[in-house]
Amino acid sequence: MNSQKLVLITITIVLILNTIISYNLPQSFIKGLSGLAGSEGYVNITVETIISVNFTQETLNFGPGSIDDGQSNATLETSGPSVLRGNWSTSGMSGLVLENIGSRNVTLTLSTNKNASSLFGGSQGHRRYMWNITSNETGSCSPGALSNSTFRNVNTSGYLFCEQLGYLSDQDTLRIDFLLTIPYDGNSGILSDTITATISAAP
Amino acid sequence: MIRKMVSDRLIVTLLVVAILLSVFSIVMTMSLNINKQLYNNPQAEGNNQANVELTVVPNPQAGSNGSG
Repeated sequence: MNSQKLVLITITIVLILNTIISYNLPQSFIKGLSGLAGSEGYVNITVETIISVNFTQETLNFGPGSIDDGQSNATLETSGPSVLRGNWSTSGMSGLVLENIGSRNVTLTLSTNKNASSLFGGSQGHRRYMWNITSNETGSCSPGALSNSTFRNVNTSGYLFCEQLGYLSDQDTLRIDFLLTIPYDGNSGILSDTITATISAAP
Repeated sequence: MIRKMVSDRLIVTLLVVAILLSVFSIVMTMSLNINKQLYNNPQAEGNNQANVELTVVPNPQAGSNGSG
């Protein structure tokens, strides 16, 4: 009986300590959250804003293919998707998707590492490396959208596509489609490029 | 005898309650710690780069009539 009492007393002490520790931790945590006010009654709350975007579809791989016999170029386009004058597969051919995962609107600039010349080489009249940025969710970009349905040449120095890319979960996603025209006398093998999204807090 | 049995049962019950409370307390404390870490590290890490890739297989017959 005495040993049982001892165990009970020990456990009670441990419980009390545990309660004290558990009580103190949230106290310090709450203090950190809101800034404990004095008798004046001020409450100072700092809400941090985060700006960040994320390519939820981060790879566009057209796979292998060649230009048809007798043709000077082939054109691949992701929004259809479609392949003209070549035998690339349209299976899995889909534009990149970019999402604002932060907590405020951002201004979005997109750039590539290469242009049509450095990516494909070959004859000038037979190569194109273009993109078309559209709202994947209605209202994601304000004002207006970007290059909406119009393909533009990619830009290695950066092009401002969206002044206000929203952060609300149903208005925060853009789609980036590509149009490639591959010249018959250009580079062969694996050709690749990197797309970079640069953001700043929208005014 | 009866008093001793009641006392023993009481001690066992108290022990069980104490253990349950202790486990609950530990779980809650750990949960709070995780939330605190989230609060102190609000950075959302996003991937701001994407890749475009294709493979061009040479066709010696392409471009022979200059069309396209």
